Amino acid sequence: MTDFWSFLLQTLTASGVAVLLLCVKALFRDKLSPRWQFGVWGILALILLLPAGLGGRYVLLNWPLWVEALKSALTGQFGTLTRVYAPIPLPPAAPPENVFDWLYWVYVLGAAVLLVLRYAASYVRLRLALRKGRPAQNGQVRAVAAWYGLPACPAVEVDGLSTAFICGLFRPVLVLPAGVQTDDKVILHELLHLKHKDVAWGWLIALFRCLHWCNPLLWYCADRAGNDLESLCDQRVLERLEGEERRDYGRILLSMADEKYARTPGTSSAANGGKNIARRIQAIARFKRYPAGMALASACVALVLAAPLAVGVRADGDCPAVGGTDIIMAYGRTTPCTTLAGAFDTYAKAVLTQHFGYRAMCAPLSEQNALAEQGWRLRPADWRWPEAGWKDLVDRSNGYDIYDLAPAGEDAYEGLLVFTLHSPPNGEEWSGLTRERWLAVQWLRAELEGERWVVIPQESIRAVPGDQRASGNLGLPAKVYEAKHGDFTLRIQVQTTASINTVVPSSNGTAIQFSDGTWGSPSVDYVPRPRAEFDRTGWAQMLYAVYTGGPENRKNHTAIEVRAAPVTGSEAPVFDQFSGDRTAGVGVSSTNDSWGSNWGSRDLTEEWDDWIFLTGGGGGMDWGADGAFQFPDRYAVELRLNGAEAQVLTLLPVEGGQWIEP
Amino acid sequence: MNRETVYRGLSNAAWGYFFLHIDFNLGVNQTSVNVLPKFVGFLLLLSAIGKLAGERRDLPLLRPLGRLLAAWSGADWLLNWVGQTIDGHILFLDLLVSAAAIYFHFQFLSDMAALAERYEPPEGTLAARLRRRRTVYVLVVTLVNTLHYLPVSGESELRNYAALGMMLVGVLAALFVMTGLFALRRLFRDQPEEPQA
Repeated sequence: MTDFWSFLLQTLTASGVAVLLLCVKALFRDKLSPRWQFGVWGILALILLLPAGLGGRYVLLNWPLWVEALKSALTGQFGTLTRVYAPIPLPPAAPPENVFDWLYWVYVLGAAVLLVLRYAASYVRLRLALRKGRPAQNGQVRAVAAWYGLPACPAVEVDGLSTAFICGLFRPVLVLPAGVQTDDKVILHELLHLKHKDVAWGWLIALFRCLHWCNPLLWYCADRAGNDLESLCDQRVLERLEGEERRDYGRILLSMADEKYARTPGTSSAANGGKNIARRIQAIARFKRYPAGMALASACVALVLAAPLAVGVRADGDCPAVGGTDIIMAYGRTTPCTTLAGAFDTYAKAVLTQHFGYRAMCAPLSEQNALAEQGWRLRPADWRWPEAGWKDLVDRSNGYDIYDLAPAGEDAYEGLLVFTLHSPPNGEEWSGLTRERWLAVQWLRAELEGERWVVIPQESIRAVPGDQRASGNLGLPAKVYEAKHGDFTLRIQVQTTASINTVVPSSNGTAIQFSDGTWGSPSVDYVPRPRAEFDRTGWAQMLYAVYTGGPENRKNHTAIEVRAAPVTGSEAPVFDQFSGDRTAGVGVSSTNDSWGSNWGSRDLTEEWDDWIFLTGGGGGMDWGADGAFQFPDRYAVELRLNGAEAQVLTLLPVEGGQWIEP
Repeated sequence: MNRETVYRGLSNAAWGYFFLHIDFNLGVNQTSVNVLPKFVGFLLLLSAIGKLAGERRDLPLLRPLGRLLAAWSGADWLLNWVGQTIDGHILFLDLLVSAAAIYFHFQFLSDMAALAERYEPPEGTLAARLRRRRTVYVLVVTLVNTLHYLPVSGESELRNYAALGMMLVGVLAALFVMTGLFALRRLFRDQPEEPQA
């Protein structure tokens, strides 16, 4: 915890679990054993030790959302994300600047004062007081220990005590009231504390009291846990006693009900206050030896509670239906895009639905304040993110594609976001021809910001004439590799597409209305999937020989054959074998690890165009765990012109390449 | 002891588990509704508790849990009519109900095993079988409730297969529990003499 908000997040998370455990314990009060009743507090201890919001997950309630919303509402800040790095207070990095910084200082000082002055000092004082005690005659203690097979420890007698207790974890001492005959059963109780090292639990509980000193609910739970520890010890005592001895033990506890007690960490005592004694007497009245099989039920109940609480829940991509800018922005910040594909998907759906809350999910923290400004300025019905001009043009039913996604530095990728338009941007009527369609495109860069993938637009959305087809998209960028040889330039163009399948499999046909009143296709899922991986990926490739010689040389060429293979690093090219008629044919093969090897040949004795298509193809492909396609560094092409000996050329990338089909 | 009452109580218990684990869904107004609703199963188990309370003194302690589970599954069944479910919306209640269900089944089946131990012949194995089936059943219920919340990134198929496997094991365990309870019921039909307490 490094600031007020992280403490609030941690203590609220623990409070939710505390309420659940109190309800569960009430449900099983007379059903599960004292061992379970105490042990189940371990779940709360686990939650207290785990940093809240770890891995973008929350426990029971979406506390990170509400803490962020409260923080934004009270401070007007949207550009920071509350994180709990450790479940203990860490010194603030900067001097206090506002009231919440001062509150955090108060919290840190309170925790330190409680730990050092209240608990540690009182323990030291107690140990010093014990030095003044007289070593007790150990006969009774040894006899009780021997009778019940328990370990013993040194004992001292101290004046003015009302009951016995164990003090210390590493050098434990049994402290007995001087001048009073202590009952064997009380000594048995304390020796059982000693055997099970219950003093350590007392220390842990005291530590949690210090860490959450201003949370009364957790203090109440600490009291309950302490009492459950005593009830557990009572259970252990009763399991070793028979008949009338058990009733005697109950009477001894009753006699302690009026005694004052001041619990010091590092001690354990049978007496722990009137109310607590009353609860323990009730537990004793319910005493029974729990069958061995009951341990299974106890463990199962504990597991079914502990696992979901420890693991937590991830926020999904859907924003709250109600709530102002504070809540929507908070939801965006606390619902991180944990995958590259999830970030692109979230951004694309922000554009499709014009939802700035979705944009907040994938926007860098540095842009959150500006985004919130936009949200405040507009009424929800007017949200037009990012640019209202595109709202009526984009064909939402077609979803989106990311073209040419490729690594762009460490933990960064770039790709072209593409939507189809249902009408030309210049207001003309669309002729209906496929090749005359228009697209809206925007270069995007995705970067890893801490645990979040964020998307940074590299340009404004612009319209380009585009051709929507299965493989290869005219007008869109492509990775182009070229090399010149004689009268020909060999050109390979490669295009990749990626998106997340947004089809709703069980659409009921009802159109979806967005918050701005417009409608979307019922068969498209417009809710972002911030943790998804690309599941619709494809590639297209074409190899041309472009004639650049003079008209007088055309008749010199009778045939052209090529074999091309992608090459990355120092690997050797692997060419495909020609098959069939070498003078007129194309071939292409692909695998996941070496796709793009292909061959093609053309007979040039007849009339031919300057752009000679030699080979090409495309289809779906599995990008694997890398998350993006790795374009090859270069292509090696074996070229055979007019039946002469083959020559190997290296095709290198060309800046600003585009998919071209003459 | 009224043998007839115990017999009917055990019948209710066995059929209760049938309703809890056998679903028969019908499509109604584009929604799927189970015509063997689970809340009926819990009501049958509550009825069984009433009838068997004379035999097992602790059984009535399960009534509050049984009512909670019946109410929860009844609310879920009603919501199914409008295409909704009660599960998965409020984790707090989900966990409370899961914990209650595990304890309820464990204790109920433990009591049934104790009943079998008391009434079966000395060489009988029904009590031991019931305890084994109870253990498997409770473990499966626990695993299903636990695995449901564990994150499985990008492996939805794995999760689906695991859920399918668990469902099959769960149904098998429930069927074995049912057959065990029917076997216990036969003791009260066939056995003429009441054992000494």
